[in-house]
Amino acid sequence: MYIKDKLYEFQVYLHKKSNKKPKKRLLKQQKRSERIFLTILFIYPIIHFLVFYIGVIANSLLLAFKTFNPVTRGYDFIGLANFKDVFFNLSHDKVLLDSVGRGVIMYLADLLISMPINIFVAYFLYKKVCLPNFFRTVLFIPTLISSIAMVIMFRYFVGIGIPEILRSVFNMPEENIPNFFMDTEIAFPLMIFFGIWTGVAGGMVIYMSSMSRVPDSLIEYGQLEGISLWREFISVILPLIYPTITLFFVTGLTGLFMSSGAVYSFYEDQAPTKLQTLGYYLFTRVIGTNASLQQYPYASAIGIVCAVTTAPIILFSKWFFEKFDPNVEF
Amino acid sequence: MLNKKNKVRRGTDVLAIVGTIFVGLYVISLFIPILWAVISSLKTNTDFYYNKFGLPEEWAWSNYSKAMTKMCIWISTGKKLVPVYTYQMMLNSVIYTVGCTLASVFVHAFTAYGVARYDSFVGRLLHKIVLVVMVVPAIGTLPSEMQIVRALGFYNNMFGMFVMKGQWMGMHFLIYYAAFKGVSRDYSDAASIDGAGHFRIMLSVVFPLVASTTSTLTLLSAIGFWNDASTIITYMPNVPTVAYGLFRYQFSTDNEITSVPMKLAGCMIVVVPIMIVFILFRDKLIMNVNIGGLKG
Repeated sequence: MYIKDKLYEFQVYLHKKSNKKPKKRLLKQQKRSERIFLTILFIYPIIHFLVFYIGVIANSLLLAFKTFNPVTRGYDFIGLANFKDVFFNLSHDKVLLDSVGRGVIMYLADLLISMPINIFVAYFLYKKVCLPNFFRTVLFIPTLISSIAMVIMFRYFVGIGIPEILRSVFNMPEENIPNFFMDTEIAFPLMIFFGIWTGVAGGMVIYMSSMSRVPDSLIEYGQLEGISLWREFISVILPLIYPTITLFFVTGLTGLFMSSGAVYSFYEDQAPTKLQTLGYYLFTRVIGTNASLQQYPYASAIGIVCAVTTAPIILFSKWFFEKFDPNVEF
Repeated sequence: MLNKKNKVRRGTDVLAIVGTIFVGLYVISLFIPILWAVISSLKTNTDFYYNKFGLPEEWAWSNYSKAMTKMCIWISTGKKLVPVYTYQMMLNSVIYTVGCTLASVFVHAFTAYGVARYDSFVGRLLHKIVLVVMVVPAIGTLPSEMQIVRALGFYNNMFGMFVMKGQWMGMHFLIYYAAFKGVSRDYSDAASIDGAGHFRIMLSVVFPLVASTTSTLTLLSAIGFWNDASTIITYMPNVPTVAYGLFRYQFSTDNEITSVPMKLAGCMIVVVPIMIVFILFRDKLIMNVNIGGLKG
C-alpha cells in the first residue's frame, strides 16, 4: 500500500511537471486575446471622449481667453478681458441678469413641479390603479410626437382656439383677450407650463424600471399590514428608488443656468427679450441670424463662469443626498 | 403573479382616486389639442376662420398633399439656393435615424459589455468617467463644440452626425451596464470552455440575453433621433430632416401655406410615421416598460 501510494504521488508529480509549460502558454494566450478584444472595444470610446468632451472643454477654456480678429478671421489672446466683461455685465446689465433669473426659474419649475409629477405618474402606472394599459399608451404619446409638432399644436390651440372659447363661450370682449405668445407676462408662465405639460411622463421608463425592482414581498407585507397607497408610496417606494431620484436630480443640475425650455422652438431667434433665458441667449450667439464668430469667446467665458458656479452646487447636492440616503439594499 | 401583487385592491384608496382624476384630466388635456389639430388640418382656410371648433364643412384632404409639396427648405450650396422637398427630408430622416440609432446602440452596448464583463483598469476608468461626466457640467461649450465639429469636417455631414451620436456616456450606458452585470458568468464560462472566443461569447451568448433591453433602447433611441430637430438646426442645417423641415415650415410665409390648417397638416405629416411605428411596436415598448425590461 505504501509503495502504491508513493507510485501514485510520483505519477501525479510527473503529470504536473509535463503540464506546466502548456498551462502558462494557455494563460498568456488568453490574457493576450482579452487585451486585444478590450482594445478593440475601448479604442473608439476613448477617442470619442478625448475629442468630444476633453477636447471641447479644453477648446472652450482657450476660446474664453481670446478675441476674434476680423482681419485674420482667427482668434487672438486677450487674457481675462472676456471674464471681466462677463462679471461687469452680470452686475450691471439688468437684461442679462433677468435672463439668468428666468433660466433658474425654468429649472426650479422643472425640479419642483415636473419631477414630483413624473414620480407620481410612474407610481400610478406601476400600481395599475385604473385602465393601466390605456394610460400607459396615452402617456407615452408626448415622448413619441416630435416636440416641434407639439409646439405647433399648442401654439395654435392656445393662440387661436382658447381666445375663440373665451369669445364665444364666456363672451369676453376682444380687448380683454390676451395675446398669449406676445404678452411676456403670460408667455413666460406659458413656456413653463408647456414644459411641464409635455414632460408629465418624463423619465417614466426609468422610474417604473426602478419601481419594478422593489421586492414583491415588501409590497405584500405592506398590503397585509393594511397600509394605504400613500403610505406605501412614501415609506416603501420612495426610499427604494432614492438612488434613481438622486441621479436625476444631480445630473439635472447642469441645466440650472442653461434651461431655455421650448423658447427657441416657439420663437426661433426672435423671442422677446423678456422671454429669453441665458441658455437661449448663448444658443442664439452661435446659431441663427444673431450668431457670429465674434461672439464665441464671450459665450465661452459665460459658459465657464456658469460651469464653475454650478460644479460646487452639484458636488454639494451629491454629498447632501448621500448623507440622507436611507441606504436600503434589495 | 406580478400583476396580481401590484394591482390595487382597495378601490376607495384616496391616492388612487386623486391619481385617477389627475391622470384622467391630463389625458383629456392631451387629447383635446391633438384632436383639434387633426380636425382643423382638414378644413379650408375659410371654413377654419368661421368654424374653429366644429367638424369640417368639406374635408380638405388636399391640405396634406399641398403640405407635402410645399414643405420645402431652401439651402445654400455656396453658389446658389437649392430647394429640399419633403420626400428628400423623409429620406434624410430615415438615414439619420437608422445611422444614429445603430451607432448609439452599438457603441453603448459594446462599451458597457467590456466594462461590465471584464475586470480591467481601463474598464474601471471608463465607468468612473461616465459617473464624473454626469456630475461635472460641460456648460456653455456650444461655440467650442461648433469649432471642433467644423474642423473635423462633420458640419453638414451625415457621417459626422453618426460619429457624434455614437457616444457611449449617459443613461443608456448605465442601463446596459446593469443588464450585462445581471447576466450570469456561467453562460460565458461555459462558452469559453467550449472554445468560443471573446467576440463569439459577446455576440452569440451574452447579447441575446439582453435582447429586451436592446430592443427597448433601440426603439427609444430611434424615436428620439426621428424627432430630433435641435441637432439638425445646430450641426446639419443643409441636410434637413422632416423634424427640421417642420420647424422651418411653421415660420414659412409662403402664401399657400400660411393658413392654420396648412400648418397643422404639415405637422400631421411628421407625426403619422412615428405613430405607425408606435402602433406596430407598441407591445414591445409598453411591455418592456411594464415588466421592467430595463431591470437591473
